[in-house]
Amino acid sequence: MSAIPSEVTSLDFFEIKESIRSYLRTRSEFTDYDFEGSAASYLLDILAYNTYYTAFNANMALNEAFLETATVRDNIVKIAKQLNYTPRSIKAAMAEVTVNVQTNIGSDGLTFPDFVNIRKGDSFVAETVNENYIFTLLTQQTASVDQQTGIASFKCIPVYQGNLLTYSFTVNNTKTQNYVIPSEDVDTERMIVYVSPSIQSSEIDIYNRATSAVALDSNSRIYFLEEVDDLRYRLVFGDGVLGRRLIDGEFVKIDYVRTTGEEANGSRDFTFIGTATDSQGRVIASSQIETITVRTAGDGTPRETPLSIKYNAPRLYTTQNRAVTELDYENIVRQLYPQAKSVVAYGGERLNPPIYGKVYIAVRPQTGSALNETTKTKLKNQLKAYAVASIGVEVIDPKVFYVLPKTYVYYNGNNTNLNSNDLATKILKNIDNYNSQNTSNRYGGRIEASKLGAVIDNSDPSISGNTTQVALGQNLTDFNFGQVFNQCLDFGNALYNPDDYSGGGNGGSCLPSFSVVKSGTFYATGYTEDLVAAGVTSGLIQTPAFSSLEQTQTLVPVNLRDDGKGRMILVTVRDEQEVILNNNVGTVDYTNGIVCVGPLNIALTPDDTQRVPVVVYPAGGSLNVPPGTDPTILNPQVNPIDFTVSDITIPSFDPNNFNGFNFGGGTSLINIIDYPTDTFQYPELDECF
Amino acid sequence: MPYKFKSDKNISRGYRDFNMTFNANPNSRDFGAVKNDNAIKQSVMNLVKTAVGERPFQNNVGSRVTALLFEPYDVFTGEAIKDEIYSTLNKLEPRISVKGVDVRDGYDTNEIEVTVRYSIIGEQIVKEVDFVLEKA
Repeated sequence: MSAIPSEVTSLDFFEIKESIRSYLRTRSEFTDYDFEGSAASYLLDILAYNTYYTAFNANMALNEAFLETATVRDNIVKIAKQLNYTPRSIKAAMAEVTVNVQTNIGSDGLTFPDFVNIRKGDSFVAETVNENYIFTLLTQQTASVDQQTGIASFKCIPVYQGNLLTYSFTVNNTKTQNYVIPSEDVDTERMIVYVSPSIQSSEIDIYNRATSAVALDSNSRIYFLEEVDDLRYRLVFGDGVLGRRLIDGEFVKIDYVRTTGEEANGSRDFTFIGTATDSQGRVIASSQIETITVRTAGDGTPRETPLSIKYNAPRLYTTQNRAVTELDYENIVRQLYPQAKSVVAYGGERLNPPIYGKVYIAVRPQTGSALNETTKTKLKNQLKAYAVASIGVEVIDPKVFYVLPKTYVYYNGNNTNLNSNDLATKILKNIDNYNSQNTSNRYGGRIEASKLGAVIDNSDPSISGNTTQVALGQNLTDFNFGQVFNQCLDFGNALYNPDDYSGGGNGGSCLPSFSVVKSGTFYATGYTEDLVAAGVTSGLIQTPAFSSLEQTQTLVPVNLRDDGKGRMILVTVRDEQEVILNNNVGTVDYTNGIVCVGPLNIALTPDDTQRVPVVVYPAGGSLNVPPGTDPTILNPQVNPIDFTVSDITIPSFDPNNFNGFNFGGGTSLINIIDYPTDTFQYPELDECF
Repeated sequence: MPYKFKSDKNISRGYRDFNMTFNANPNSRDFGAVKNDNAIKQSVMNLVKTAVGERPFQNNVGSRVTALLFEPYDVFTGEAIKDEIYSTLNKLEPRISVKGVDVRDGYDTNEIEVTVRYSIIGEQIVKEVDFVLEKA
């Protein structure tokens, strides 16, 4: 019995060819297969290529059959359809405008017309920085005319970017009919479906979109929507059991908006280019029409990406249109509000103290840092349809954890052409990418310095390793200038306790030599140059102390830090020496990571915002993400070190080494982390560094 | 059942290859085979007439001769063709040692006549193969 080609699982051309060749070696008929010029070698090529081609094709075809591995959008959509998932369409940017129309005296020469109409489909032109966009009115608007002034005012009318188009079908039950809208840029949310008994009939039913079979009967005027090939959407009408079945000869008309999506966000300076007519049928000249932009265009989003479909479809399927678990809430909110950059839901029982019977949902929009109240209320009401009865829903703004990594990267300068700066840029890009990939799932609830370290290590083959430590930042925000306030910041993670390193152990005789909580610079009411000068001379600053000539004195820039024994102190720098202005302006709970500031009176901040940054140094490299917190990596500091040139040893943690990691750099300032210089602000762009 | 392999001493030292014409043998109705000298001769012609990149995944197999046929013919192109044949055979046909390559231009017939003289490794006799190169 002869050997048979045995490499049946190979996807490599040469392995396949070798497999056939090794089979021929067991035969005596032909011997020349080893020589490239032989006819046998040519035949082997053909056989191997054919096998390779078939195997590749089978592999790709099978990959496309599963949601996990499919890459072609049409295939992903088809698999998602089995999970009853319809991908989000492109969404038109919406703006609000007020249109004031000055009418002319009517034909009787005495009175103004009664009202003014603007028709459905009439357009506005608006500008962005780069381009002009057309916005369309989706419904006819009528405004009554003020008989004193002759002005008709259309207040805050919503307009949508794109063109209002119509497509129609006549129902023909003798053949299989596909109600496909022939455009790939349809905003399905702005779509209106009309059905009338015939093309001439004035009797019109509006059909609504159904997303589940619940509560449908044979008379429900509904349609289902699904994405089909080439980004088109298809309407599926009822079959007479679930939804009304269309009858032969009925006329289906679809009004839809074809839009360019997010490109038109930010459009403003609207100009009306349609036709306004008064109640007497006269067209009003464009010079008599004034358009005021009330709300700049926003909320335009691109169509759902294949990656997003792969992520959302199975998750939405698990919710089964019911919000029961925290994940259900997150997935449904993503569906209801696709503009969300991140959604975090958590039960009130996870709070301290617990609040039972409530679910909190922290939503961060794509633009800006918080949702407006209208959207919050709308979301809250929409969620009622999914939530379990008796469970209250609160939509809140997310609390942000600013994760501030500082990394020293060792690399072999002989293995790369990049200089130190280029390498740092490359690493920053990788960190940036890591950050943007993790915004949707908040790093799975944990931020691991080792994961971040691996991202840094993999940035370039020349990198041999890195030492990375992270600090955590939040802003003090609950204050008004000139008023005394108290605020606690919960960092949710244990902090290094400087007292443990003080020599005498916890509560020991030696004073701690470093600080793990630092605030940015600000000006505190009452702490003036006059006071500081006097205190420095006498060696004592009274606490709390106020200058008698407060109003004539200049305030000194101050910072907060902890004293290493659980108290917050107020300090300033005078002649390169730290001066303690107040030794009790709050407390630090190192075990639970809670920093309480106050009572304190902030007079001013350098950037005039009501924000003072506070940075802490958490113990260990693994950080927990507490409920309702939205972490983001901010301003990473990357310091590449070519170990072939300079052999610098960086300690992983040595609070008493002032030249080491995360220290202020050799001065006499007590430092574990530097004082933050800027307030923290959530990066608006994905590429934030 | 373990596979049986024939021992080396039973395997013919000759060369045996498919015949490129794939004509059927009228008796056996099988396709034909070429042996020894003829197998090598066929291989030489195959290599010269195969363009680089023609074989799947093997960009180093073949010669640039086909491409050179479309260059304006002069003595330099002739030399280039000669060099190309020479180096291709040296590189890809280990069974022979090329002794010489002659290229003759047929101006009237738009073709190039090539003669390759070679000796089979282990044999002393110099053999020749003649073929005509045409733009196809």
